[in-house]
Amino acid sequence: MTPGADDDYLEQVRQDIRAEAKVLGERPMLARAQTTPGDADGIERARLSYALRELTDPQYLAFVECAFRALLKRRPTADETTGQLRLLGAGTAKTEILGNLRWSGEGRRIGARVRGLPSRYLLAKAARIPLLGHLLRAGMALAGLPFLARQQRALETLAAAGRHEAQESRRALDAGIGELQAHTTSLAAALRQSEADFDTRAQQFQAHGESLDDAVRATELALRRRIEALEATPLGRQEHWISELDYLRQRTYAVGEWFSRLERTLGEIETLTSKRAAADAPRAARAAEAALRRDGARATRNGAWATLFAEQLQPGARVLALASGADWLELLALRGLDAGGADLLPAMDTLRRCNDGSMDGVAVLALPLLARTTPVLELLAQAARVLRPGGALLLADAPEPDQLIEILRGTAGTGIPFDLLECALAASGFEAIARIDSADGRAALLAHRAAA
Amino acid sequence: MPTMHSAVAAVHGSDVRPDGLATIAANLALLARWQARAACWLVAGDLRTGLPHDLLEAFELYLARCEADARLIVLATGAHEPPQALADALQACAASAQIELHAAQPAVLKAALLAADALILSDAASDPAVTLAALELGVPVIGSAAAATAALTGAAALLWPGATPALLAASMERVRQDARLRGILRERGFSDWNLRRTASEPPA
Repeated sequence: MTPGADDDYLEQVRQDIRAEAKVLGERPMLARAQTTPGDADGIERARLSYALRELTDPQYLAFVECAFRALLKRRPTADETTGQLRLLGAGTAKTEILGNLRWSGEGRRIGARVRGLPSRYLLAKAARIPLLGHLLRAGMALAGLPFLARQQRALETLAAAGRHEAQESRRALDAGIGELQAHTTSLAAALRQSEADFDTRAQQFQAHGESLDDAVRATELALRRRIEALEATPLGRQEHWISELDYLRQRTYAVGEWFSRLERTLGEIETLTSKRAAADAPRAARAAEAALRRDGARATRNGAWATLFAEQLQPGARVLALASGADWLELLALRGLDAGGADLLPAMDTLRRCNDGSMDGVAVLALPLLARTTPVLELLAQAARVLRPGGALLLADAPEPDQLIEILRGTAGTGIPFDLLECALAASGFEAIARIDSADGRAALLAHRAAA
Repeated sequence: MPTMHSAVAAVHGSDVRPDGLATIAANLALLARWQARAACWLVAGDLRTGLPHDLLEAFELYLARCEADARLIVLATGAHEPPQALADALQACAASAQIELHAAQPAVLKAALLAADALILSDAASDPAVTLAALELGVPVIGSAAAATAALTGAAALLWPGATPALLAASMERVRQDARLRGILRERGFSDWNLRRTASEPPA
């Protein structure tokens, strides 16, 4: 890269940075970084400031661990732990141990600050000066007498609590040991029983194995004799094949008989199913009728849809109504439409038989009823074919009688997402697609066949 | 023109050898910690009372809009221990968890320069010796033009007259993302430092 090119690039960079600086504040705020208190090993390496009590409050092993983690940013080795514990045991002040760590070569490099430590450390060190130190310690002990008395009381309480806790632990331990012993005894008994069972089983297996062995030997012997006998006579081989063919023929007859029985059984199952369905039908119809009577919103819902549908068409327009009750045809007729319907079974056949562009409108009230046997895309394609350009299509998810019956018989189709249906309509040559859901939340769509 | 030797020696006293930081071992513990994936920015200077406002704002803006887990190393020069007032001020700021304060001892400075994405200069936070050391080690230098004269950095730094926090933050982001820019600044830094070293050598 030449210096000239570099200069040009730097100038470009400067312009970019100026532009970026202007809009930097408009960028979305980033989530704050997780400021975990420490690294994976729990050591707060970025932290360099501590209060003295944070380091002096922990006791014994925890104190040593805490001091090393804070001041040297690492864990103590086993030797270091032992050494520091020995110092503590010898009555060395915690502040002195902390100071030794902080102002060691390693501690200086890290440079952690402990508020209040320098003065305490200085005092602790001064207390080690032969004569002056003795006086200093005596003075400090005198000054600290009230504090020491309070601490002693606290220690007595702590010791009592510790003793109590130890006794409780021992009791729990004794109970645990007793339970363990009981378990061990029962396990040993179970083991002895298992061993005995195992021996019995092993003997049985051995006996079975021996008898199986005998049987195999006998079969083998019989086969060998048969082969020898067959080979001994010249016609033996021919007779042997004849007998084998007989055997095969018998087997074939047996298989044929078995298939025949299977067919009969399947037929019986089918008959029974039909009978059961026939027995269910009146009950399902009664239940559907009762449900319709309870559906107080049905008249309003179907009436509103019929009005909307009729508004899309001229009076006397030819309309094919599918998957709906007989009353729906009446509602359409009342609104001046020439409505004809189809029974449930031939609904799709009726639609398929209609001529191209022969209908002004098609209305499917219980769409899932048709969708359980016919793919929705095929239904839409047939509707688009049958409708004249501009003709209206109404699709609804209404609980019409036949749909209710199918639900009760467990053969109802699955629900259709109407959002998806909108897209399917658009893809099938319909336009002006509008949701006309009823007031009680039943989904419905009105669409027009696109002009050719 | 300040020479490399005089500038470095002025700050670090007799600890630093005349040939700069190149032969001094870095503090490896710190280097290992700072050489992470997140950006690491370096500020150094005789900071007695706190980090300059513009620099702190720039870093906070960078954290908020560019890279949330970036870190800032602050090296206090001129003393063996960082000033207490500076430590307290940094502790009190919103981004304190991502700011690390140290005295600019040679091994620490070397580790910081090796780990930093760039040295950031501000009017109130700059140190000629550290700037030269950054050039010596190929660390990009960005910041306020008033903090480093052209005589000190030549064309080896990305400096802004009247640098605002937004300009500084945008510069930091660009340096972090633009390898070519880093390469140009590094090359210019090396050649500038070599020129300076030649000039500072006593005549034969």
